[in-house]
Amino acid sequence: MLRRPTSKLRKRAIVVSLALSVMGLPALADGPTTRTIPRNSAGVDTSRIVAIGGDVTEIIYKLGAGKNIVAVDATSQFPPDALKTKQNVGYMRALSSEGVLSTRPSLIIASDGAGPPEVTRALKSAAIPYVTVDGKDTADGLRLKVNQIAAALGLTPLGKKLVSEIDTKLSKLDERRKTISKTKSVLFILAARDGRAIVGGNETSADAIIELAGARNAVSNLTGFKPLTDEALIGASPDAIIVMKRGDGSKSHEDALALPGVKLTPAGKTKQIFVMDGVYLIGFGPRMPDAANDLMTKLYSRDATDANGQGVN
Amino acid sequence: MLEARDVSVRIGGCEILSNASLQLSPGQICVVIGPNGAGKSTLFKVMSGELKPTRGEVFLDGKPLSGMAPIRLSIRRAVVPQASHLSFPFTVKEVVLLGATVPGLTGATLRQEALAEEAIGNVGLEDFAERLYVNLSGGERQRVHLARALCQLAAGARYRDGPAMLLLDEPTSSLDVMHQIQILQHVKTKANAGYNVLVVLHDLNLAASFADQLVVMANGRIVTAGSVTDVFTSGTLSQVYDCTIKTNQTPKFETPFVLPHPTIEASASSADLPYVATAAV
Amino acid sequence: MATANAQLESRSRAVGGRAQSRERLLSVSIAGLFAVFVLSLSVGATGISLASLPDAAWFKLFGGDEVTAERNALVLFELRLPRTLLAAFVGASLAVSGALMQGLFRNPLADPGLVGVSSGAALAAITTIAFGNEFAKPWMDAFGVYGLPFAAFIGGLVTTLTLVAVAGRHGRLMMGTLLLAGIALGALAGALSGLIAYASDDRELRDLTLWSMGSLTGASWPKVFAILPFAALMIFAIPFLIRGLNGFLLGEAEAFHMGINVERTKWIIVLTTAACVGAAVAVAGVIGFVGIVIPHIVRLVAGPDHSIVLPASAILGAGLVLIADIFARVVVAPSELPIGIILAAIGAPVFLHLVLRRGVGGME
Repeated sequence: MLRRPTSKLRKRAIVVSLALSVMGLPALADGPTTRTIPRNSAGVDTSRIVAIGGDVTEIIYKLGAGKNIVAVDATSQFPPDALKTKQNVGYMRALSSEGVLSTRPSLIIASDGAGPPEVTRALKSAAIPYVTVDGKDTADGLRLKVNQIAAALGLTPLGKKLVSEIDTKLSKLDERRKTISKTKSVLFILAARDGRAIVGGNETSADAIIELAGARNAVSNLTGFKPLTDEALIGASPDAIIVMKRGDGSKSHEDALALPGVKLTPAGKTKQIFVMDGVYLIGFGPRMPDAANDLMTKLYSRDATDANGQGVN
Repeated sequence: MLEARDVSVRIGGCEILSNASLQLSPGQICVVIGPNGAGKSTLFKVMSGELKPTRGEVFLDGKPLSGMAPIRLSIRRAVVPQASHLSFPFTVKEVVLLGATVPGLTGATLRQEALAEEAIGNVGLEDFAERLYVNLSGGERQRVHLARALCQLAAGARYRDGPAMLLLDEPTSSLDVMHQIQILQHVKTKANAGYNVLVVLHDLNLAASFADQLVVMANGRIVTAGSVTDVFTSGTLSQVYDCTIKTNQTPKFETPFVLPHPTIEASASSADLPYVATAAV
Repeated sequence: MATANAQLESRSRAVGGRAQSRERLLSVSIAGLFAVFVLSLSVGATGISLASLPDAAWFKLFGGDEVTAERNALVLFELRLPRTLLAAFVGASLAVSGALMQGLFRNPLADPGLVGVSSGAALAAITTIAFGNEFAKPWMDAFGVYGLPFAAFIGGLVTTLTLVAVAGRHGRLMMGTLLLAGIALGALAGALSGLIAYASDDRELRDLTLWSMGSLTGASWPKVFAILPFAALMIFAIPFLIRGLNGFLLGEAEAFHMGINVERTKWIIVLTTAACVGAAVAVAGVIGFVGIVIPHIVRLVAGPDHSIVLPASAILGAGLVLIADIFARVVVAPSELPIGIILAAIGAPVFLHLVLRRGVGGME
């Protein structure tokens, strides 16, 4: 194709190779095509996808393209099928360039949190389409992510459909939220070990989901995931506590109850302590509206029963 | 020629060496004696160039020592420290070899090794050459350091433009009597060969036996200096060491010597003492 | 008695064989380094081997439209080669820095991080990780993906210069003060790092943890060129430092008596180490173990003479990090392990074996 003049300068060689990598993209699109290969609107082959980021993987599965995924990262916990049947390229923040390339991807779809930066840069410089998915942990962010991924997969109509499903659920959630008379304060415990609770403060995914579930964060004076002292825990006096299910499953409930301050809070007194799956609740994938709805149900069903004599569905 | 002119050292407001002047002469052993804390080691450090005096200056052939490159100094003088601790597993031969390789004086390894072996022989450590330094006794270690210093001076011989200087800080403190004599005897042969030698000694009798020039120090000052017969007197020593000291002379060589005189209870008579020497006064 | 004699004899035999051990150590380690270097280029997750080298080189030089060749060229020349070189430079820098620090402090357990480089670099790294979108944003915007490595290098260097300023009086470097001030400054940097870590979210924390375990995963040509001058400086300085360090083994005063310009040597050692460790930490994160264990292994095999300790440490350090990195890349491919884990897993048993077989070399 290109006959470049010989250059002994290796630097120039690098530049040339980078230029070629970039040019390789349209070249690939224009080249002779095999009809069976699925492509997006830009003609990119979507048959071998590397999905990086738990929400990204979940959305790809939801759009029905899970079978085209060849590798996922370690945060892709849902569906469980992903980590069981696909190759694992490791934690999304510690990827290896050659590791990702070794899965022979035709398309890389990665969350904007993927790293380290040198690796994502090297991957972008390879002749493989690399799609960065960015979206905050909000309802709008979720819509954005779905649309971006659907476009990358050449499945824009399916993406639109998924977004409208999400919207429907979210508007139902809004309706329900309006029926809540007394907003509860909720403490989100990410992990409780050795008597120390790491809780979700402001600007966290936990805060966002609590809001969506029609409650308010009991520790909105904190920012980020932070350890909380016993006294501060009592001072926050949450009406309910949500504990994340640990990797090994079992004991998280007891760990939280074992925290010295918990018994003295309204949540501890009324046994309003719920264990939920972390990926489900704060993953901000397509199941987000369901997760918010579930949380709302957990938080308010007993009230509803007590006050109105009927449960909320 | 190494000469200290009116040097003083002050550390933390306290003068530990005051107005000391000292001159080493080729072919002579200069011995410094004095009680603990007299400033012997400070004077020694100043003479070796390790410590820069607060006042005054040490001169080598008329040039100030402080302006001299360490490497040029190392060609002329070698130092045997009081004690040196080594945390790495060197063999005796390797330590001695450092005397030649650290200044980088002779390039060829074979020549350096020959010099090291010769120096080891000089201090009677042939059988220890391949032993690890850390496994040696205190006395053996002192001899290793003497050998290292000798090796350094031997290696520097071809570059020297003046007599070599050997400085030893209490080289016999951990040695038995045979090795004390052996080491100082070897130092003496070096002096006879033209080396300037400065030795700090604790043992007064050894000092009297080997000194050509004797320097007596107390309270940071040089009290007196001169030949052994002039300086090594009961009066001077008693005053300096602040206790009763009597000197005597060996019959054959007339070398003066001292014996310790413990304070005796009134009931005991001096006749009970097992020392025959005191009776000869 | 008899056993004591036998022990003594076997020890002196072991010591007597040092000259041969030195030659053997050097030739074996050079051959080993070459072999590991080639191996590092030929293995990886993609399974591309050196057989693809001619194709890839052709593509590199003249271009072409062959997709496989392009991919091979990318993997071989843009990923594996810089990574291999980086591993070698980092390993050599850390091992030689360790040997320099141990010689300078006359302590076989001294760590290359002793002059504050690691703690300073860590503080700077943690700052860019946690505040990359806040007050450190202009910095990150200016240096892009190299913002963190560059900040780490500057952080390490600034810490060391502070230390040297504290411990230097009238041009003399007080080693005791340097050591203690280093501990104090390290604690201070640790406190600040802890404070920042406290204020970080879990993703930043994860980044910090990964960084502190060390990795060569971000290897690239710019990083290779970044560490090259420092590694070269160190290799170049080795011949000039051998005599001084050997002198230091007996003590500073003794080194001076044997003709060493003590102060100048100390300055050179401290600054060279700071620059090299700073560069290594900057490009690969915190990689422990190499700096202490490699010089120690060399001493156990060939004695403490720096004319063998320094060059052999450079070669073996490069080799060990290369081997560890090969494992890091291959074991859990297509993912990879932090190199610190592998280094300890490979190095510790080898080290223990040597210590048990040879004793600690009279170090007690």
